[in-house]
Amino acid sequence: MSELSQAARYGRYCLRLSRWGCKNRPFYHIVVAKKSFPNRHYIDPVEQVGTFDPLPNAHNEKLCALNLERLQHYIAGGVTIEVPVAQLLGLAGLLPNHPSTYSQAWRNRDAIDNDSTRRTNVILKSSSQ
Amino acid sequence: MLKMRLTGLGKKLSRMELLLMKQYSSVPNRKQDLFYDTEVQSILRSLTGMNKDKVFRARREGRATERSLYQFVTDEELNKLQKEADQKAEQRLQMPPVLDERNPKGRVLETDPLLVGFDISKFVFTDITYGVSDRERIVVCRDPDGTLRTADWEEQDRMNQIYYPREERKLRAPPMFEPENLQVILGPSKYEYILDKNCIQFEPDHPIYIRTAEMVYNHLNENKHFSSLHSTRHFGPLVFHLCLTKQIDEFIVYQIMRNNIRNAADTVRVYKKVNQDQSLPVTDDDLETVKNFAKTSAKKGEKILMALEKVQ
Repeated sequence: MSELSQAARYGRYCLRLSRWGCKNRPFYHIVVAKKSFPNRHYIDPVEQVGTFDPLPNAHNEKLCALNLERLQHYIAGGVTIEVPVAQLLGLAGLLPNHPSTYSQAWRNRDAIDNDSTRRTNVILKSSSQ
Repeated sequence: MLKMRLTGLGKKLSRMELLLMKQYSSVPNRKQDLFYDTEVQSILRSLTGMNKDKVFRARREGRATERSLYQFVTDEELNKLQKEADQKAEQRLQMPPVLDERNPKGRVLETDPLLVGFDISKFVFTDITYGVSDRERIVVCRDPDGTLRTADWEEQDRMNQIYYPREERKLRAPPMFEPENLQVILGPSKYEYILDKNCIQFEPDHPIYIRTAEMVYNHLNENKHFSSLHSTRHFGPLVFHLCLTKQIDEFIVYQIMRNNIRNAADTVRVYKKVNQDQSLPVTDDDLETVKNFAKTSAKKGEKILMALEKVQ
């Protein structure tokens, strides 16, 4: 029985956001879980590696906790990182920024100027509106 | 010597070199170097005193009280218990650190203008690795303009309190610590309460900690309520502050009036050590030391001499 090398040990697992919180009040756990398992909070993950609060607090901060030591361990083991988590890790500076971060930023900037491309769920508010 | 060697090369000193220079300078330039001098510490300890009735008095701490236990013990066991009680008292009288105000921290790690528009809020990332101390914890902020930087002290303190809360420490500093509110409650019955709350809420190098402590010490000195902090853990830092700001005259008079010339002389010795005052003649004889101080460096020298005459 050959041991999987460190490079592929966590191939079947992924880093994802697991939604906790309440109705209309999301709160996410950053979690290492089996990729084939559904993403439900009542299914215990392999390990919780952080949290993310998407609603800004009184200081206009979105708080994210990351267990860097464990994250490094799993990333080194070849875990798949899903897009939202990859975005967070890019913003944190642990990984390079995900391309979707840049495209979202571009679309938001574009939406301020162009009425036609502005979608209903654009969060960016500017003084011109 | 290290400074000369480095600057002699004519190059700009890097951050590491400046740090090393500071470490190896022999002249004490920080409050903590003066405070943690062995002689100063031992004198401050002896000045604090150890009134066990005061140290172990019943206080309102919002906790359920333990029932007192009455035991019949042998002489040996009694001595052992006494020693344990002495150790507990010493622990309670451990002085909170006296440090210089902390330097502002925070440096920019990366700027990325392409991220502008991603979000209108700041992202704060805290490292929750096990076994890292509060001060060394990595807290990093991504501003809405795309700058990635390490957190400044307020953000660091706040994140530490959110993820690793300390008992009784509030996330937002209580309004009690604002100067206007503090003036209202300052009084002999509240000095210890304010200073204890100060220790709970802030780190010893926090600017508000230092400001609150100094306000309490100055108020106490003006109204001469030295006995209220006697035999508490704040007495040492109080005396240290008075020596540093050269306000020990009232304190010396207070010691003399309690017939404690030894303590008065010790205070003068600490004053000399802390201010590195070479002109002040300090001898082993207590009375002479106090008289010398009264004649040379004291601001209210006549008052001290009068007090000495009254006591003799």
